[in-house]
Order: sequence, then C-alpha cells, then structure tokens
Amino acid sequence: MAKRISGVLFVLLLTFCAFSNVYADSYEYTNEDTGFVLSIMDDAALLSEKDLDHLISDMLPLTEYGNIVFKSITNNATSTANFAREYYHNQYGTASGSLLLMDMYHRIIYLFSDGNNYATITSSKANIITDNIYTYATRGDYYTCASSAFQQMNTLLAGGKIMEPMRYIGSVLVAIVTGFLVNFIIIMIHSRIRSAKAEEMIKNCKIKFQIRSVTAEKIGEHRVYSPQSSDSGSSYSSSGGHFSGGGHSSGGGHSGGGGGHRF
Amino acid sequence: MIKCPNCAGEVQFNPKLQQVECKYCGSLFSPEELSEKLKAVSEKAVNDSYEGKTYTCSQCGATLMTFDDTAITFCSYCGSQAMLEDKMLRINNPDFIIPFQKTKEECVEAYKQKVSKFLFAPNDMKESFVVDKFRGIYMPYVIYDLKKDGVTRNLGSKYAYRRGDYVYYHDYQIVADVDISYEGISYDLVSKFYDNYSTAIPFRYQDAITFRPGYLAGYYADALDVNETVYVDTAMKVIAPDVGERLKHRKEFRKFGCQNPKVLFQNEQKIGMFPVYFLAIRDKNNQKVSYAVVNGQTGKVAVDLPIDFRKYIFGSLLLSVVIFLLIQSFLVLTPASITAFSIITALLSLVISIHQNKKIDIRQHHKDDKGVIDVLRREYIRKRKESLLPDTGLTKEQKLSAQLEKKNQRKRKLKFLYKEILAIIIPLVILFSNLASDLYYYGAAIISLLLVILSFYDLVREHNLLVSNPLPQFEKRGGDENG
Repeated sequence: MAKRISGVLFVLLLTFCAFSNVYADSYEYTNEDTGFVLSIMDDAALLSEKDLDHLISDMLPLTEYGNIVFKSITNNATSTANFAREYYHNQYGTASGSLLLMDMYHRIIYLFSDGNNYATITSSKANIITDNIYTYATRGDYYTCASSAFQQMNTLLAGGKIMEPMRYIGSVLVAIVTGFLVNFIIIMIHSRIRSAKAEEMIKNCKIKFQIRSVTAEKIGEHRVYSPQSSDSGSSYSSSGGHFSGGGHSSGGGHSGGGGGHRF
Repeated sequence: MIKCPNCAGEVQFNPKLQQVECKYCGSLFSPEELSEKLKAVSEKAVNDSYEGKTYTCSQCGATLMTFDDTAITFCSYCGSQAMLEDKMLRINNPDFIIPFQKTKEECVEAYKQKVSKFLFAPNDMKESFVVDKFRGIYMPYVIYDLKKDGVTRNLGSKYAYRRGDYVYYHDYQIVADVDISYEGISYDLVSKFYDNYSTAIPFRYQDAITFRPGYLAGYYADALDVNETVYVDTAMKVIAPDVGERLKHRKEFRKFGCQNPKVLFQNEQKIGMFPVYFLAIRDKNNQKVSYAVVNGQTGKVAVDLPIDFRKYIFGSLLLSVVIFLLIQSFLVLTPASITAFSIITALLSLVISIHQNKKIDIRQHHKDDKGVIDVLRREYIRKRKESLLPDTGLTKEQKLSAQLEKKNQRKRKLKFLYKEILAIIIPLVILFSNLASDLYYYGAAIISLLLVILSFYDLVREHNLLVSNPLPQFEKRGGDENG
C-alpha cells in the first residue's frame, strides 16, 4: 500500500515537473483533479534547490484538501497575521487552503488557513503546529521547519492527531492546580462558622415600633460652594481604551484564521 | 438538687412533652407545678434561687453545674476527663429560660447531616463515640431590651436654591414622638463559649418563658463570667439600620432630607438561660480543640469543619481529571497562558494565605471576642490591684519571650509564604524576558505550578488552625454566683 502511494506520488511529481512553471525561488502547480494550487514563493531565499524538491513532495498531498502555499518574506510593513491573511485572500480568495508564512522581518512563523482547511487546522491547531516547529527555524533549518509543518498539517487533514507533549504536561498541571483551588474555595465558603445576620437577630426579637407624631421645623440654612461650570455637562463620559478583536470573519459564512510563533 | 416530690428519684425535663419526668416513678410535672411541690416539701427551698452541684475542670478551669446525682466525667470545653467535684452552689434565678425543644437524638441527627454534607471532614467527627459526647447545657445569656419612649430629634437638610457658585440648603430639625422597643437581642455570658459559636446559633426570644428550676432537670448549666453590659454597643449597632429604615418610611424624614435617622435608646437587661448542645473534639495531637454547637431550641448547627488532607487530595485529583478533559476539549493552552495562569493562582494562594493568617491571629487570641476580652481585662485589673503584676502586666522574662515569639511568628509567616512568592517571581521573570523558546515558559510554569500545589498543603494546615482553638488553659474564673 505504502509502495503504491509512493508510486502515485512519484507520478504526480513527474506530472508536476512537466506542467509547472519553475523559477529560482518560486514554484506553482495545480492539482488537476481538485483544482487546488501548490505554491512556493521563497522571497527570503531560505531554501536550497534540493530543499525545494523535497518540500514540493511534502506539500503535494495537501493539494487534495485545498491550496497549499509556502511564502517567505524579508520585509513586512504590517503584522505577520495581517500579511498572511491578505496575501492568501488576494491570491486565492476564500477558497479552502493553508499558507505557511516565514516572516524574516518580524522573525515569526505564521500558519493561516481558510475554508474547509480552517475547519481542521483551526487557529489553536495552527498554534500547536508552529509551537512544534519553531525551534527548527531558530536553528536556521528552514526546510525541516516547513517540512515538519506540512507533515503535521497532512496528518490533521487526514484525520490524525499530532503530538503536543509539553502542552499535555502543562494542561495536567493547570487541571491539578485548578482542582485544588476550586475545592479549597468551596471549603472556604462552606466550612466556616458564620455569625447570624442582623436581620435574623432582629427577627427573633419582640419589636414595638410606634411613631406617634413627626414634625419638622426649619432651623436655618447653610451653603455649599459648587461652581456652576462643574455642574453642567458632567453626564458625559467616555471609556479610555479601545480594542478591536483579533479574529477575522466576513459575510457568507466564511471564516479563516491562524496561529504563529516567534523564532 | 431537683428530685421527684413523690419518690425523691431523679427527674429529667422532657423536651418532647415539655414536662419534667421522674425516671423512677414516671410522674410527670410541669416545671411550675414541680417548683410549687418542691417548695412545699422542702423548707429550705428558696423562691428566687436554685441549687446545683458544681464540677470544675482541673485543666481549663471551666465550671459546669448539674442538678441530679450524675457525675460529670469530662469537660465540655477542653474534653479533659479531669473534672473535680467542687461544691453545692446556690444561684439566683435568671429572669427567663428557653427550654430545650430538641432532644439529644435530634441534635445528633442535625449535626450528622451537616457534617456529612462536607466531604472533606475527618471521619473522627462522625464517629458515634465522639457524637455521644454532645451535652445539653443551659448557657446564661444577657437579653437586652432597648427602648425609647418619648421624643427623638434628627437633623435634615434640603436643597433650597442656587445663588452664584453656592448652593443653599435649608436645615430642619425633625422631631418624632416615638415608642420603640427591641426586646430580645441576646449574647452569651460565658467566656469559654466563644462569640463566634454563640452568634451563629441565634435564639427566638419570643419563646422565652419565666424561669423555673424544673427546666434544668437532666441538663447541665454554666455560670456567667462576663459582664452583662459588654454587648450593649454591639446590640445598638445591630438594631440601628433597622430603626433607620423604619423611620425613613415616614415621609417627613425623606421630605426634609434626613438620610440616616437615629434614636438614642435606653437599655434594660435581663438574664436568660438558653439551651445549647455542646461538643468538644480534640485533635489527634491533643493540641487543639474544635467545637460543635447545636441550638437546643431551633436545631441550628454551627460546627468547626477541619479538612482531612488525604480526602482533600483525593477529591481535588478527581476534580482535576474532569477539568483536564474540559481543557483538552475546549481550550488550547499556550506556554504564555500557562505561565500567566501559574502567576494568577500563586497570587490567589498568597492572598488566601495572608487572609487566613490574619484570621488565625484574631481567632487564636480571641481578639474579636468581647466576652473573653472582658474576662481578661477584669483578671488583669484584679492582678494589678493585688500587685501581682508590674506596670506592663509582664515580667522581664515574659516580655523577652513575647518579643521572641513575635519574631518567630514573622519568620514562620515568611517561611510559609516563600512558595507563593517564588511561584510568582519565577514566571514573571520569564514573561518579562520575552524569550522565544517555549521551553523557558513551560519550565517556569511547571516550577510555579508545582510550588502552588505545595502551597495548598499550607493553606489546608492554616484552614485547620482557623477552625480550631488552642486548648483552654486553667485560669480560675470569676463566676458571678448571684447571676
């Protein structure tokens, strides 16, 4: 079975070589069965020719699910997430697909997905993948970094699971601490002796309360300094801070997003 | 002593029947009828006093009275079994009594229900040999009758007009002719029956009736040792908001801008005997004692609930499994968020620990217990008068030892807090270093979270201190025999 898959991939690779436009730092191939595009735009020249060949074979299976793009840049006037989203939408609209962006300017790896791909490679999954691979980028091994990302994406899209050992350890500890804390707060609330409230003490009394008469007599007047200017317009107030959400959505039931990591 | 007028056998007040029952001949008497019969039988019987045998605890000095031939074998306040028979004591009748309306079985049932709801309570607390030690005691209470019959004056002010930069208000005197009384705000007058327990089980004063010694039959009683006027201010503070609210219902108070109407009350106090089931539970090391008290009239329970550490760990780990599954299903924790979480929990742990330590200090030294403070103050004055104490009330050695103890306390506090402090500092340093590698964040978060988990041991230990009392030490109490 594995041999058959390798054979199919090899044929696909040959087909790709025959039909693709090959440049020094960019490659593009369209999967004729699905119509999805494989694109490599290595503007930062992070990959050798040999790396590119290997990366293509890593990326090819992903064209079954959507467009698959590798992009590296050296200049970026906006944020990495912004750049990734806008680049993908400009090139492929809202079609299903994923973009792995290596932003050498901000030194951030960012994985953006859209359409069906985003349903599987959600922002949190993108975060997990970039967490798992950023160390390769730190060491300058960009090919292994990208290759590992595409392999993990493939695993997820094929219905598999990716490893996240540190995250499990962290989650276990967070769960334990939360368990201890919640239980202790419950104990604090329920185990202490509380004095009766004043209302309860009064309820237990015999109360007589008669007001026979009440009179009010004016005994004088006093004044309080209150400048008129401070009286008017005091009802206006505005909040200090303003934030706009980090999420992105657009009409027509489409959504996309991603996650990244510094390196 | 209260005996059956027919056969001179032991009698006991039956809370179900609200009558006194002879254990031998089965005769039933109302407490009033019993008093009359006893008066006829014994020439010695005095109308306005009752007599009982006193037992004094050789360990803590607590005194309990009994009204039959039953010997008191253990102390209700410290659990010691060294109770010494003292003497027959005649005490003036208090004004009122609220008879026991709950039987011991009902009290034990209410206690068990309360304790069983608390999953982390030590098993010892539910053992029958412990629960059997519940003892029905009549505690002396002061009952305040706060009155005002006459004119009360309050001030108010109301916006009148503005002139330039000044706002003018008209001032009014609101004169109200009132007849107000709050009768029945009550506080216990036994210093060893600490205020935090007695105020947790309030009594319905409406059910108080004229005192008859017959109600004491089969129960114990304590003698008062706290001055009756100690709680007057507290009682005034309790009723003040209610008085203010009721007065403000009259439109004149609102109309003329009296925000917080007050009334100066006169106080009359009476003494009542109120029914309490009392249980003292010593810890395994015999260093601390926890109390459970049940209101013998309403059945309300107030109990110290220490934590069994093993149960706490087991319960928390079970809960952690559920939380872990929830995290895995709905959350993806980033290294930075785990680090931030560890800082927040460490901060929470620190705040709880400081709060608990403050409360421990107050509770262990009864700093908020007016009854204890009153007894200590009078004891101090007595010793000063007898020239037993120098000016400060302490000898040189005592002064030095007190200073040393203070220093040690500070050291102990720091020792307990170092885990929380480290658990905050370590991840904070990593967060501010802005390092790229996740390993630093995970490392800091893991160390911090482990420290927080360890700090929970201290929190539980502190909690257990907070819900227990130091064993009462012997001090001869100045009980007022004429109470």
